[in-house]
Amino acid sequence: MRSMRVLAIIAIGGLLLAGVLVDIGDRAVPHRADQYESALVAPAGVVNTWFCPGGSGVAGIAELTVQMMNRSDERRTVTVSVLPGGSAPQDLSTLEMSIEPRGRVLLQPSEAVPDAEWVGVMVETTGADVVVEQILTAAEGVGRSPCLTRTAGSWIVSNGATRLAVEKERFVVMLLNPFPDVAVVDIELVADVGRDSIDGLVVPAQRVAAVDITSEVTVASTVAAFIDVVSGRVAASWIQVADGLIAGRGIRTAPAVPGAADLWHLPVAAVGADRRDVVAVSNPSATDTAEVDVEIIPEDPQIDVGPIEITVRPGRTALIDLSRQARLDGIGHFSLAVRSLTPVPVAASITSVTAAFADADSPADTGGTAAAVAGSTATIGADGAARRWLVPAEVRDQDGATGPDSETGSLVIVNPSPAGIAQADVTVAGNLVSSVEIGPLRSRRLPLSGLGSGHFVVEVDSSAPVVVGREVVGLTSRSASLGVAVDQPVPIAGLR
Amino acid sequence: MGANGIAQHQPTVLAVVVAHEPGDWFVETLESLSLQDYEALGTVVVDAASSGIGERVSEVIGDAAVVDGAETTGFSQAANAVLDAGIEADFLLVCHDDVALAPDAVSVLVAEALRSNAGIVGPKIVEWDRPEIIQHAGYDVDRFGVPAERVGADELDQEQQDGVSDVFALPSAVLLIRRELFVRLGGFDGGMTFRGEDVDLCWRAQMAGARVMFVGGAVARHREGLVSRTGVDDTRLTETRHALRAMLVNHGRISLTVFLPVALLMAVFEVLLAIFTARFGRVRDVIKAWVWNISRLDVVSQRRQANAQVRRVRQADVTALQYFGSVRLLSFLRRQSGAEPSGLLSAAGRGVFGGLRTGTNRLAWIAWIVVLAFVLFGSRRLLSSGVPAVGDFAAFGEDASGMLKSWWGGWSERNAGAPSSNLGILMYLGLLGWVLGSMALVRTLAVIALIVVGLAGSYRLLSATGSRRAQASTLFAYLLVPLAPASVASGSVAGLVGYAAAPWMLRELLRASRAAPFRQGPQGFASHAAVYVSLGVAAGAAALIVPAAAALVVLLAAGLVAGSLLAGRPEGVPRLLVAVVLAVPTAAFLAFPTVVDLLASGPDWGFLADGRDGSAGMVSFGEILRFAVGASDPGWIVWLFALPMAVPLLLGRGWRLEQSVRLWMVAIVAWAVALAAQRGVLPFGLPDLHLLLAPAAVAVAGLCGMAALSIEHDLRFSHFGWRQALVPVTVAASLLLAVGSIGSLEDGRWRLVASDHHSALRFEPPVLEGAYRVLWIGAPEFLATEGHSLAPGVAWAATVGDSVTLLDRAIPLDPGRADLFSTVIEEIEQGRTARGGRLLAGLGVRYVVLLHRLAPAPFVSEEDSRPVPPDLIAAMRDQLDLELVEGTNSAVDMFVNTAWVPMRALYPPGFDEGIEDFTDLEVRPLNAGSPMFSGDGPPWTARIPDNAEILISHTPRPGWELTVDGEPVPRREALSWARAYQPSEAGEVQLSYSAPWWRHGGQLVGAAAPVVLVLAWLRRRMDRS
Repeated sequence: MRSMRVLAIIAIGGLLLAGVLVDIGDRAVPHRADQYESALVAPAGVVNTWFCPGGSGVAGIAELTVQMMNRSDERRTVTVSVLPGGSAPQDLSTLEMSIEPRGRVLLQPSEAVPDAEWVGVMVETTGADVVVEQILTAAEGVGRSPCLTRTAGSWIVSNGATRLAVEKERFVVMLLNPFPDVAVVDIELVADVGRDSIDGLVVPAQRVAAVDITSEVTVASTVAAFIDVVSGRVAASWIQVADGLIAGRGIRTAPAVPGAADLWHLPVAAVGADRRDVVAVSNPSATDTAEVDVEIIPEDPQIDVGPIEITVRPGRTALIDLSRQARLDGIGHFSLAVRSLTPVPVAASITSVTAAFADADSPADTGGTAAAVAGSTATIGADGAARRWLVPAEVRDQDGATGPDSETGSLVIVNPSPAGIAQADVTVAGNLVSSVEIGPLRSRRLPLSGLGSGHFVVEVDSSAPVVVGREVVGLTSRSASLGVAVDQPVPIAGLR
Repeated sequence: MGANGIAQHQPTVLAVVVAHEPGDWFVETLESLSLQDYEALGTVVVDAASSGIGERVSEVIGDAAVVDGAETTGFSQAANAVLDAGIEADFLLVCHDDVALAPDAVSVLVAEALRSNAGIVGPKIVEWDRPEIIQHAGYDVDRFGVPAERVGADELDQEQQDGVSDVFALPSAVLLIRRELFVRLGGFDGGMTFRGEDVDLCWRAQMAGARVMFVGGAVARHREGLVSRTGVDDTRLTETRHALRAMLVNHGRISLTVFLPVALLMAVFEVLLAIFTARFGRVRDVIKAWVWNISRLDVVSQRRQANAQVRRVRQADVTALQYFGSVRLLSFLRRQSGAEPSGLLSAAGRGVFGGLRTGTNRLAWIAWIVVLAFVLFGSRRLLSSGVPAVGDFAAFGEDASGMLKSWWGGWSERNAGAPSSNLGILMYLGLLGWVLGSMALVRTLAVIALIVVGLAGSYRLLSATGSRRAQASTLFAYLLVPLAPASVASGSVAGLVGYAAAPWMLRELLRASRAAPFRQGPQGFASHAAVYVSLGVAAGAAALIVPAAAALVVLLAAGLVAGSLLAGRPEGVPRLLVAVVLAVPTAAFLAFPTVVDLLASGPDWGFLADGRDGSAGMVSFGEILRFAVGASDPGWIVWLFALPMAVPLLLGRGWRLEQSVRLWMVAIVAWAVALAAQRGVLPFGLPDLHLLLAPAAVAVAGLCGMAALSIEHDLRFSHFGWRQALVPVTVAASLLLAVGSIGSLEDGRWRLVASDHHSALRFEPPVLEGAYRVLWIGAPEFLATEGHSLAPGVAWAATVGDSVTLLDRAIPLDPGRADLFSTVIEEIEQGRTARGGRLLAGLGVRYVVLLHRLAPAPFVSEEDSRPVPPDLIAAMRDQLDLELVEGTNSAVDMFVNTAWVPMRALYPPGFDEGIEDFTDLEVRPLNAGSPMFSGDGPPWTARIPDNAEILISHTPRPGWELTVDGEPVPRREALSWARAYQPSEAGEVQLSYSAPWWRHGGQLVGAAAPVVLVLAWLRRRMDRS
């Protein structure tokens, strides 16, 4: 009995102790892995919704046109909802449109809501075959960017300017609320001349709101807008118009960046005598300083350029004028990677201003730029990579029509992996037009003129996740943007 | 000597022997009379059967007279025959023909009659063959005329009845009555052939102011074999009939007005009970007794008039001499409690009040009074304000008929709808609600009843030890273990069911193991089978409410097996395993037909896990040990249980130590399983943590009981030392625990919140807007119905209408098209659609509610929240057709589906053209349609115009039918999952669902199962007693 008692006490005590010891270790807490939500434009569903935060109506500063391109061999039907903005009371207008196989449809939404000062569009498509872009036409030129495929609760616009008097710069943030309930937005403006904020801005349900930053922060050569959606969710983009000696002439538009990340890729960058590319890195943290390296990824694998090291204070935006970086002279085309070295995520974008050549015979290539047409472009960074991309392209010919012989844009494919090689097939209208191999942390540039003519959609299929950008040169303006990822994007920071 | 041989100097006594074909013993009867030492005794024998016994009489008593009683029927009329014989004796000694008096019996009786001036006196009657056993010592009689023996069955004569006492009635076997009184009363009631005539005579004597006295100094032996002599067993019939006659005749008008309805009610109850226990003979007896009396109301009236002539005493004074309650009811209750049915009133007095005179009984009574007061006081707000619909505490619906209808209907609206296997518990709750008139009250009582049932089980757990102190200690400990308050505070029905069932299961398992002290009583197949059935009943009863609770048997058995092995007593292990297996049929019978449905539809572990997926929880091992798993933390004081739990391990000897080891292992196994669930090491989900901890709770309580036993029995064997110090330490710890638990009484609702989500959410009334579904997403514990796992710690469920009721917990036979909900939620979550509302509209979902807390703020703080993952919230907010309702409580996010269409609606023909697949709704949304069939149903009726189609968004299953003016309407598939009916013309339409007959049959069997088992138990108890 005694031995049984001792044995029982030891066993019971031991089991209880074992329970305590087992529970000391970390447990697999029911933590849902944060679902990666890329900043990329990435239609993922059977039915995809595109949000074009838009531009102005007919009489505004940048009239909105929506371009829908069908890359498939079947007719596609899309549902377009035109969302009005401004003070005039107008309801959402919905129309169905059909796009022919490999066809392209241009829509001027202001016709559906003629009294609206501002116009946004929501396009619902079946499948990922249709690519939707917004084109803004202003007196200063034409800007274009892919529409968004998501809404978010926060947005960052890194680089705008409001020198209205001298440079005729106007900086407008477009907010589109496609939801049936109102959204309330706080905007913090951080400019070189100081800070300001707009609190409690109401974006009515299924309307767009244009926030003219020019009237809020005057005479700022650089303004960053941190948008916090207090209630609801919105899609955001921005419009920058300029016509001045310093700022150049042109209009650029780009989506806002929905969130910060540790690593961004900017596929299209260059330096040249008539080109001024500026990288903007914003630190949305209110307390932590970000140490950031801007890494140069030359197309030529023989060239090795050291990174540009910058410090971004909390809530601030750092601008890097690439044209002033002597280390970049003569390296040709390159891409950029913006890497936060501290655990403080940042947002990155790039703007490019190109002055037009006075003489059309001047050498077109001064260090790799395409500068036959003046203009200004803006591209947000890519925090994710994908294996499949769609890129709307346009190649014009000399006399104004599009054609393969003119000075055109280019397609840039970046392999963000530090170790793997990516084999990318480039297809246009179902035909393989190019197949390239891209080494780790390298990029390849393909002239659009070598891929097709007129308006077409380039498809890129890669053996490994890549980032694809494009620079399009139109008749009177130029634009740059990322492509549309039609495969589930993966975060670049996690690539091995 | 004068006429009839009676002496003149003493009061004359005439022995009136009523004989009816007596046997050989009659000689002894006559001899006992002839040998009396009382000289003035004459004898007259009434030959009731006219069998010519005169010769036999004269052989023994030469001067005895024989009266021919051939014209009489029964004892009473035969005895009354002497009234016409011109007898002039002072006393009549009325005797049966099977009694033998002691030689001094008559003289003692006469002496006492004279001394006490009694009207009727009677001797102590002992058994014929065993004179040491007292047969009768007079009767106590209740107000319904039912006599109760004043001695117990087989009560040994130890001179305890040798005194003289007033009684209400005496048996007619032998009684001495003054002739004048006998004449005045008109003798016995001639209508009472046998049995009950003595009570009636004595009752009337009492009315006439005569004393009725029992004289223990006089003794008579009595054979009492009327049934064997007549060959007719009409004992119950004649007793019942004559008791009723006595009541009808002898009560005053006012008292009869009071007692007659009560007697009628009791008779109805007795009939019902007899029907349910299959004692149809008893049914016949009761009914015949009433019919007999009703058919003789004229006689009753005559006798009442005659009584009025003799009445000398107020009715109230007579009634005061009678037993206050009902002898028959008391007899029934005492049979149920296993007490002897005889010696009823004295035994009852001993049981109820006399029991208090013994220390251990007093302790038990006080313990129960304190415990019940504790529970009722702690539940006072629940009783006054009701139980909010928190967690599993789903509302019961507004009326009982809805509950009954749903039970019978066999269709569950949960998720996409499916045939349901409603457990019989719904029927019983519905019936109870119908009786009480309030389903809310039923719900509140059900919550409290589960606690009380658990406490009762804990009290019975150690009954085999024979120690009231151990039982009381277990009871108190189980009350103080914070599992029940935690379950209530968390709205965990599973926890409460586990709390209620675990003690009963553990008790039966211990009995099945036959380890000391649980191997008492007769061993044999019937005994073992009874244990298996009892175990099955405990498991099945738990499964009636929470099916997963039946699995507690396995958990408890595992602990006992481990404990037996550790204690070095493996012989009980096979018995435990056999018990678990053999308990299954009974449990399955109780849970019929659900258990069959579950087996037929394939094992669905998710159903048992209630939407849990096996991911880790947040409860630490320390909290598990302290039962701190609910919405409230009981604090450090629970650690004090360790002291009484350690006592039996340290002090116990023999079986007390062995059982303590077993109980420890039961607790450890339960804790280990709970820890495994919380650490997420299992590849599957487990039921509610409260349920898993129920075995540990009862084991802790049992160990506290074993502590009392060890102190009671084992401490004395120890030398003086540290062991003695354990007693005050344990007592102090117990007191601290008791004091600490007072805090849980503070709010009167066991810390259950005062409000529920339903009061914080605003749903449109479906009757006005059309039928809709609500999609609920949140932690499984927050959902009012069984959820489907969605993500770690997150589940979903869909319900119909603006409230969630117990009916939504009905168990579907199959998941139906619940997969569509999963698909849509996944599409939304993965960001593959921005039109989730359109897809949800195809399922009739109008509202999506994300639950972040158990109840609305401020009743549950943010610290106690388990919010839905932010990315899921964001995905919901990304939907273009889900409108977030601003201003709702911070504990929820509520979305309104702006694309919603009613579940049942009228459409133009071809309304779903082009929708080949459910996901086509994303691009081809449905128009709203005209809502119909929005009220309670099925069935529903409505009027429809020409040229219309009716969309019904339910899982298509046989049994649904839509008729126009009684004619079935053709149907087709719509939205790739639902049904569209195509009436050819306008008219009155009816949509109905009828389950197959075999399902109704199964439901009836399931509903009858508890009744059958209860009656079987009752019958067994009655047979035993």
